[in-house]
Amino acid sequence: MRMLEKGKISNLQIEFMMIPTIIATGVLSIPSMAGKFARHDMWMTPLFGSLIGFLTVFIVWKLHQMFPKMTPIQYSEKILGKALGRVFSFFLVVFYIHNTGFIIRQYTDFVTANVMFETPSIVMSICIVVVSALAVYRGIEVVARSAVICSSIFICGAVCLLLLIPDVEITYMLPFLENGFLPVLKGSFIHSAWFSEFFLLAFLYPFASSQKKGLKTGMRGTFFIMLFLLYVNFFVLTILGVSCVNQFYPVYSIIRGIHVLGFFENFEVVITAFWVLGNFVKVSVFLYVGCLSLAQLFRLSDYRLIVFPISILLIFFSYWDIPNIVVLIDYMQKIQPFYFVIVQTIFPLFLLLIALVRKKRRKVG
Amino acid sequence: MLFLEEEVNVIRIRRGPSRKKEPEHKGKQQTLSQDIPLSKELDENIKFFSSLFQQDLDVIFRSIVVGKRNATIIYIEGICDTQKLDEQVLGTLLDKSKFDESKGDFLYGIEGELPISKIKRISTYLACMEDIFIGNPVLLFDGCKEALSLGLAKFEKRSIEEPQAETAIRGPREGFTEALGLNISLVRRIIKNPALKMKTIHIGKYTKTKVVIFYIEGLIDNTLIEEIENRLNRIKIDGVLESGYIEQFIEDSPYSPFPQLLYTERPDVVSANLLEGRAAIMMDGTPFSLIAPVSFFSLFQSQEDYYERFWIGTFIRSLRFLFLGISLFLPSIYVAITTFHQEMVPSDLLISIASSREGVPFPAIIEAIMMEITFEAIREAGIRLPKQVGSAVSIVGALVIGQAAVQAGIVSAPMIIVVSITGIASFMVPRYSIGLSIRLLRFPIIILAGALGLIGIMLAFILLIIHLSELRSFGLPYLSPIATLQKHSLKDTLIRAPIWRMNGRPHLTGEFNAERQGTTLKPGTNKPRK
Repeated sequence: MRMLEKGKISNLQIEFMMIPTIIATGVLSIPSMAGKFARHDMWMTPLFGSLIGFLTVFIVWKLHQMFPKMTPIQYSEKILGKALGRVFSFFLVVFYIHNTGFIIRQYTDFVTANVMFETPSIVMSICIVVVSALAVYRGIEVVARSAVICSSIFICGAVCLLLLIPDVEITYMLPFLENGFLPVLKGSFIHSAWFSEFFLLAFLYPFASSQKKGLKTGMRGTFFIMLFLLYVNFFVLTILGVSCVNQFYPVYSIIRGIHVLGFFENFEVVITAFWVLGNFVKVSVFLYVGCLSLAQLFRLSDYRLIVFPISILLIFFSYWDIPNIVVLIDYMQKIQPFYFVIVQTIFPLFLLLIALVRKKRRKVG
Repeated sequence: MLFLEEEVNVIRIRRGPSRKKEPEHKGKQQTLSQDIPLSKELDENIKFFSSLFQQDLDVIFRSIVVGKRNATIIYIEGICDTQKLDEQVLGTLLDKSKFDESKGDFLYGIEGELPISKIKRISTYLACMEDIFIGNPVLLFDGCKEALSLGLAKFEKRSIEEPQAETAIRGPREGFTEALGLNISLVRRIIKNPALKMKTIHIGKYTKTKVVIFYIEGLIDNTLIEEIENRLNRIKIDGVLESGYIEQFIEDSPYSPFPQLLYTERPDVVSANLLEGRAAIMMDGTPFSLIAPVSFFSLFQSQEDYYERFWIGTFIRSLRFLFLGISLFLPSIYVAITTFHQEMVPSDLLISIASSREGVPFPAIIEAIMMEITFEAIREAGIRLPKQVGSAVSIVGALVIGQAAVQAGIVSAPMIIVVSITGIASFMVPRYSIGLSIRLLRFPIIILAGALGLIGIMLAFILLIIHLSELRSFGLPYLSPIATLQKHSLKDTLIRAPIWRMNGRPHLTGEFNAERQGTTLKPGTNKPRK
């Protein structure tokens, strides 16, 4: 198969790309959504939610080992046959482009609701899409390199939560496992939607410079994200208590509450600005995957041709069928976990099983 | 002298371009570029040269008789050592008793007698021309098809001084001068190894400037040298007056605002870079030599980071990056905060800013752009003006634009503070060239901040990062080693690790001769050597 992308990225760079790809939007409202189910035990939801992440990484890695240098678009045809494989690939492409639209919507909703009150939301979506499209247009190496710098700054922004230590109220975490284990699992399932996005690794592994360390990369990334979400959830719970479930953006609220020395206060705007960097990485990775897979599906000579047309489509997708944030949150809470886990974890699992059976048969035959 | 007869020139007023003259001019060029061998007849040769140098006052033809032959020395006054020419060459040649025609090769005999170390035979008009222009007197003999070029070129040059653009508190005080030979000797004096190699290229149709690629064999990737050579050979222009000309012809991305080569006038900086496996491009006529390839972070390294102890080096370097951020973003952050995010400022500070902005008629973005442009103008005026007038500029700048503007209520005092801090911050950058691009980029960022607040600044930052990630300097990613995450080179970027810890050379174009020093160099470790 012809490679549409000639760039090479290092495994560490993949990690730096994946971390904001999961947590940039996840950190916004996961705590309140997970808290709705798990209540006092909300802090431990990432622990179980990440299991889906580890599973997805493992599946992706196994598939990658069987079909090195190939993206799911290419190997699904080999596994499922030409017709069915293409249908699946097309579904994946639409899934990712549609999902990117949602990400952009989440971004613009957050920014216009909290920081730039008077700026029209369309300006915000156009800005982030244009910036990401420019990065994607220049290839995966540029995306990876800018991701390293942007992610580091984004993650450093999280240090500010430490300023909240004086306000931490540990008793909010009690009683422990009040309603048994099931609510915790339900809350964890919200996380699964985000953790299943590790399927994106399948599109990045083929360009890794060292093909052997991929599994470690993915697992380490998942583990880091779990820790990060644990850290965030801990602060949300111990500061806001169970009342956090009533907030759309609980993390933003606790950052607003920072008052140290009478000077370190009200810098939620700065943190939002850092978060924009993380969101840029997220949109770029998704856009890259969408463009690359569409180009591979239609056997285009260069994915760069379709970057800007798809970017325009993304802006439409970000407004289509989402009247307001309440509907969006509802979708994320009730549909997204099932939808995402099925598409990004269960389907690949089936792909892997079919591939394994076929391989075995071929050996027997 | 015969050849210096002057014609009376009639100045004609030309209407429009004269068409007749051009072919004549071209014709002369053609004869120059052709490699015609010298004639055996002295008269014929003299005729050629005298027609060539018809009106050049400084070209001297001196006819003498050596033994029984007629001879002529042609040289240009001022760029050759006339004293030596008189004493050693003419003195020897005119001493008739010494030459014996009978003994075989005449020129060989002459060569043997002349007390000059650099002497060579040339046989074409073109070679004669070149040597005469370099400053080497050419000695023509009647009946010989070859001429002698005497290596007596010498011209007035500046003595070695402290580099003006890169001063240092600790470190060598000598800087390059305009003379290439002297500069090469300065580097040679530091790196005493036959592996120090150079390749020479002449660039410029008229200036024929000597350009030298300097490198250490074995430390440098040979493809890099080839690439530099190819790019230099591509340059076909009339003249090269400064290394900046070359820089603009061999950059990877000519439209980028960032410098993709580093220039320096310090031999120690050149040597340090050569030792790290980079190449230096030096040229005649300018003290500035170019270094390739460079990364963004190497533009923030100063030689003194390495000469001082590593804590100091690390501290100063991180300070530099902090001030890079300040000089790029401070005015735009001020604009963004005062326009969009007033709630960010602690209330006491907000009140004082608001009260000082009260009477100001301009919005913050206009104010910022106005003041920044004024500051740039003052700075530029300070550089270009003669020193006597310079103080007047600073008085006008400091008093009128600073104090008076605030008192008149045209500009707010915080804005002045912001602009001055930004100004100071941009001086923190050790390399002037990258400071220039920061100055340039500040303005679009201010505009974005005025439109979209802090989000706009972040968008600008992302755009900047995208551009920098894409940029390469001779194949080396511009943001390496940070964005490419090469772990062992990270020791010399945002921080400066102890010298005894920097055991590997920075990763440049391939893992090429990576080991720099032993691993047991830390003072106090007395591990037995294996």
